[in-house]
Amino acid sequence: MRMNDFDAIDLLKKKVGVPFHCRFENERCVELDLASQDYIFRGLVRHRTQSEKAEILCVIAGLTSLQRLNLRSNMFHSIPDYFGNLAQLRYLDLSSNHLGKVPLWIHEIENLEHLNLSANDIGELPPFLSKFHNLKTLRLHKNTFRYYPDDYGVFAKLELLNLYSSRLKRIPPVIFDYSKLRVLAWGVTPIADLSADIGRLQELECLMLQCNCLTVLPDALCELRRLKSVFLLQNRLKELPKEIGNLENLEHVTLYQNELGSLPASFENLKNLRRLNLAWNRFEELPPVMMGLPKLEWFGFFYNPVRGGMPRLNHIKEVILEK
Amino acid sequence: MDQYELFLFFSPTYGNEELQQDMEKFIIDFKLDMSRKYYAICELGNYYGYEADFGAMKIIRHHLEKLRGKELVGPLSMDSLPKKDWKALASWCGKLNDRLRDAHE
Repeated sequence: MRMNDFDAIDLLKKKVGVPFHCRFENERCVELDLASQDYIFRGLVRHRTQSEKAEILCVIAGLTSLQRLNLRSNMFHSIPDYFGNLAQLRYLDLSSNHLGKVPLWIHEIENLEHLNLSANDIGELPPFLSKFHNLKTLRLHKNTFRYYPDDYGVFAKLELLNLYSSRLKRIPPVIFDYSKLRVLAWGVTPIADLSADIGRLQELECLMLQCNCLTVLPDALCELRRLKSVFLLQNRLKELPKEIGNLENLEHVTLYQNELGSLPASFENLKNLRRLNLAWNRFEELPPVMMGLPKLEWFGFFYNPVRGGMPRLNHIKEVILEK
Repeated sequence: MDQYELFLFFSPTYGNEELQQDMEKFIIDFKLDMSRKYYAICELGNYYGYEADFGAMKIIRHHLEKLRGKELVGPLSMDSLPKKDWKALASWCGKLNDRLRDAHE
């Protein structure tokens, strides 16, 4: 006879041994988090033995009405196939569990909207994930796959995609079809240029492209009027697009560790900029446009070969001239 | 371990804000009374420029604060990718030396 959800959670409380989040609807458990921001190692059963973890997973698999499940950072190594019982899941976080592959049972889920499989040494992305047409967030960063399936072009509702530190050699063109994308994270790859197709991501608010080999940015970047944050640190940029000032909503720009020696005059139009990091570049003087950014609160400028003195920057709350 | 006055931690960050596994095991087992001891942390990640508070440092510092240790100098995030920030490391070591000298005078 199947255990009811209240009894299952009571049993889980004994086995986990520390408080965790769960939520019920109509006597069924619909949310369960075995990771907590309050616990410094995140995963609440991370340091349990594998047999204790197996017992815990067995209880969870009986909660067949779960819609949200967070098992982050618990070093489970594998999640058994009977998790296919959890077909109602909308949100699934299996990040940092040393899984080695995408669990096949995920295919049994009917309508996933949020999936986090980051930091799991995943070497291959299976085509079956393309069944999730309603995916809104997909986090696949810090894995080892070298190919992003073309089938994933069906993610028309995707709002967040994190592919930071994979082994992809180029940004898959299919990503530029994600017209609803608000956050795109990519980094630690050898890409030297960015396709002008980036301009098609008109909803983009946050673009993270750190630690690549970018030498130039396409003018099309300046068409992304909703951008608020741009992270381009640790590339090889020698100049920025002339019309960068079109991005009037920008609040946070990081260009740390590039090869910039000047900024375009239009930079002065970034009147909403609050944080700007120009450290470790090739500026020999403070860019004159710096004096005309009224909302700037934080400015990093160390490790630049500045000749002579620096003008006072009293209008900026925090100026970092030395690391 | 009790014979030492100062503990220096150098650690990369792995995964999603996690420690290297051997370091994690060390930290979990490290239960020394640090109330009369100092520590300093150098994080070997790739963080400066987009995060103020960084992975390994955050975990180690949290643990040492619980053990009532005193931080001798502020932590360093030494970028290691693509360029190693030796200059920052040298400067940080200089600060450590200064503080140690002060402590023994």
